[in-house]
Amino acid sequence: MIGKRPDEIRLETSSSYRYVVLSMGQLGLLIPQHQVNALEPSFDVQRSKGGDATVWISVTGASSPVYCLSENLQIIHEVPKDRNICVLLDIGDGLFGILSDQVVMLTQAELDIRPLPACMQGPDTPIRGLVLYGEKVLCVTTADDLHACLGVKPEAVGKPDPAQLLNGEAV
Amino acid sequence: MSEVNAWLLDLGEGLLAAVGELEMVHMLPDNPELFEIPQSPAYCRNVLVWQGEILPLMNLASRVLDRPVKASRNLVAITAFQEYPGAEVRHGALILHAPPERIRVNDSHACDLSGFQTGWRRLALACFEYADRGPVPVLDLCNLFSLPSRYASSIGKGSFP
Repeated sequence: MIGKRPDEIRLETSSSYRYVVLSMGQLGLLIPQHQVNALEPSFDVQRSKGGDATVWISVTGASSPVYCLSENLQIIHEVPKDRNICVLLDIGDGLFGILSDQVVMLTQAELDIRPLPACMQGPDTPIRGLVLYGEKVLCVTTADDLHACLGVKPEAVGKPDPAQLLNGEAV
Repeated sequence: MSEVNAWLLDLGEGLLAAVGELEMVHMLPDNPELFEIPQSPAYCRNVLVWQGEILPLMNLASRVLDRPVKASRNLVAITAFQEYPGAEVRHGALILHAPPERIRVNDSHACDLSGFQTGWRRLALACFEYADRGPVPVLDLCNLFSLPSRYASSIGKGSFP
C-alpha cells in the first residue's frame, strides 16, 4: 500500500526545506527538491523506445523514461502542447522524468502542509498531503510514491550519471 | 422526553440522513470552486477551500451505493465535528441533492440500526423514524471523514431506505 494513514505521515517542517511544484493542467504536485535531479527542455526528449514510457530522454549518456501524465496521474501518450519541461526525478535506483507545464521552487516557510484527509486515502494514492498556495490547492507527494503509482516496471528507470551529480548539475 | 433540533439531509437517490443542529455550519452557494485530487476515491474526489481550510467534499450517496451518483445540483453543506468533547473542531463538506430541512426529533422516534448493513452502521450513530420518510440514520461525521477508503468495500449497498 502506498497511501499513508495520517499518523504515518512525517512531513518535513524545517523552514529551509525546499519543494518543487510541477504543474500539469489544473494539477499542481509538490515534490521535495532534493528528489529533483535535473530540469530539461522537452525538445531534448526523444521518442521513444516503447514500453510504458511516453518518451525517453538522454542526459549525459544515461537514458531515462519520461512519462506524460493526466491530471489523475495516468500515463498518457499524447503530449499536451504546454508540457514543455521535463523534470527528472531521482528515486535512488535511477531516474525517471515527468513532463510538466511549469516548474516553481518554494520553501517550506511559504507552505502549511496538511495531511491528506483520511477519507480521501485510497490504497494506491501517492498523495501524502495538501497545501493551499495562493488560490490553488497543491498535492504533496514524493518521487518514489509517484513512480510506484505509475505501475511501471522497476527496471524502467535510467541510472543517474555520478559525474553529473558531482558536478552539481542537479537542481 | 427530550427533543432536539436536527437537519434532514437529502443525499440524492432517495437516501436521507440527519446531523445535529450544530453540526451543520454553512451552506455554500451553487458551484463552489473544486480541486480534484488524483487517485482519490470516486465518492471523495474533490476538495474545496472554506475559510482558509482545505475540506474533503464527499458524495455520500455514491459512497453508500458504491457506484457513481451524479449530483443534480452542486449544493454543498459544511459540517463540523469533534473526535471527542474538547477536541479541535474539524470540518468536512457533503454534496446535497436539496436544501436541508430543519426538523425536531425526540426519543420516541428512535429505531433500530440493525436493519442496516454493517457499513451504514460505521457511518451512523443512531437512527430514527421520521414521519412518512422512513428510517433516517444520524451521521457519525467523525467516522465519515476519518475512515480511510479501504473500509469502503464493507459499505452497505442500497439497503436504505
